[in-house]
Amino acid sequence: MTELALASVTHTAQLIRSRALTVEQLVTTAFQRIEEQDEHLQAWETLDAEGALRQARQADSAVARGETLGPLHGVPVGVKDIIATAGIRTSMGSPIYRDNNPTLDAGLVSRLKGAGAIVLGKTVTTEFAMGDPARTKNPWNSAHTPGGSSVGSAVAVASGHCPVAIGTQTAGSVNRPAAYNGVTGFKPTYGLVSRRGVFPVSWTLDTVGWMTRTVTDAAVLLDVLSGYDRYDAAGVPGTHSEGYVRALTNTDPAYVPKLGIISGDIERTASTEMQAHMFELIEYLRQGGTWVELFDLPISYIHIRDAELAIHAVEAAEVHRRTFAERPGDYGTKSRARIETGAVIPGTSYVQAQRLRRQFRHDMDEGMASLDALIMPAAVGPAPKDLSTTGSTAFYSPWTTAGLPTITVPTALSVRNGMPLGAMLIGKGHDDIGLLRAARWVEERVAYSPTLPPFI
Amino acid sequence: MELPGDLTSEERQEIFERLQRDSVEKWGSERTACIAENLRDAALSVGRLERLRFSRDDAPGFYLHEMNMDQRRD
Repeated sequence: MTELALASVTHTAQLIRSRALTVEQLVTTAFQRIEEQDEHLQAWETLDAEGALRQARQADSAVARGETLGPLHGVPVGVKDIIATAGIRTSMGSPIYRDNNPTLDAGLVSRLKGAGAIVLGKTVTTEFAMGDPARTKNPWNSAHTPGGSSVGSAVAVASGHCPVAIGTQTAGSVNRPAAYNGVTGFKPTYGLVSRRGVFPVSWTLDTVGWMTRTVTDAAVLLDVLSGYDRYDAAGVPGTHSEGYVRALTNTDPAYVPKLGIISGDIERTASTEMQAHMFELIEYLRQGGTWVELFDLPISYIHIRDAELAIHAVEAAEVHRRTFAERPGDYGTKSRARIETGAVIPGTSYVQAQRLRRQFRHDMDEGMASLDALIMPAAVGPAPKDLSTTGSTAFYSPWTTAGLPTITVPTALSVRNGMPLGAMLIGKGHDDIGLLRAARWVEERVAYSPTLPPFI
Repeated sequence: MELPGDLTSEERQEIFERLQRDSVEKWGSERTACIAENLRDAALSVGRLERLRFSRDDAPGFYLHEMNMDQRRD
């Protein structure tokens, strides 16, 4: 059972194809594990055992008939509870939507199902994917925050409930919980994956991402989920590829990435332990043959977090304008503060913020031209021992604001408190394959073997 | 883009008071520590953003690409 709980998407799909395991066995085992653990962990908002088992039996019949199987055939998946799922309650983590039952799947859910995935249910989100902490526990130590907002998705994958779970990121809501819970967290380039059917936080920042156990699995999901959708204003025709896994597989065996190290402000912000870990990690990567150079952040970086704050707050204020006016008492403290603040930020500041982000994206693309990726700590430090917060967004919001792809990779456990540590890589816009290639090289070089958490 | 020096504490306080006044007018006088903290952070960000100098040709990058609405409607 432990081996299955730690299986990757790729391995799980292979077990099903080879008939070493039926989908029904796999899904039943997943629900048993969830039943044993979720009273403590609280990673799941709504489970759909009946629907998942029905789909599992259909998936087994397809295998028996020798049908052509999709890349996720029979693979169990969790979906963040701000993403619409037909027939499964989608609450946005809010009492306002407690009884919301969508009749249509979000675009990305249709793609998951089309590739053969089995949706186990909905994973817990912070309220409206904003800053008030959710009830979910960090499986490594419940006295430490599990992060947010895609918190249930990160904990579900870390705890071996499913090999992949979908989240969304407006500032750091995929990368940060992934780092705090010791799993791989990937956020593709803005616009690559449709947000149709995803409840918005901030239209010009929101990006769908996912948690997996390996970098290759992140590429498998990108093959399935990327695609132009005319109903998503962020989508751009012609920028999607369906060959991420193929490109990763066909990487020259002699490939070593050229990495830029982000220093200065970010280096100083990281905890002493994280700084020491990164220093050792970079040295180790260098010994493995990678080219590493210091990367000077452009001048437009200096105030990019101010731009993120303004855009995030103003757009959230508009998303919630009517509902908040009618039911202010149904909003959490931090959500309320963000909405109220966003409503009084001047329009001229919002426009300046959007100008700055464009400049920053341009400067980053130019500065990174000769590099495969940037590398930095996956978080300021291990998950903070503070349940009143979901952690700092400082390490993520600049790259999300620029729409750049990012991935966090677990690299070790803290010798001080046993919590996960990791590295984050940042790619060039629309060079997701370049980022995944570099991240997989780092993953292979580090050879960190994930274990199941102790559930303290 | 030109990046002028950072705000003075007086400038920051002035913007905070402006935002707070607008906020009280819009939402009433019930204030929480969290809202005050958010308004203080926003005051700093607003002040810094307003000081940035762009060329008139520097359009905002709402969707981070050059597409226009007509093209998106395909």
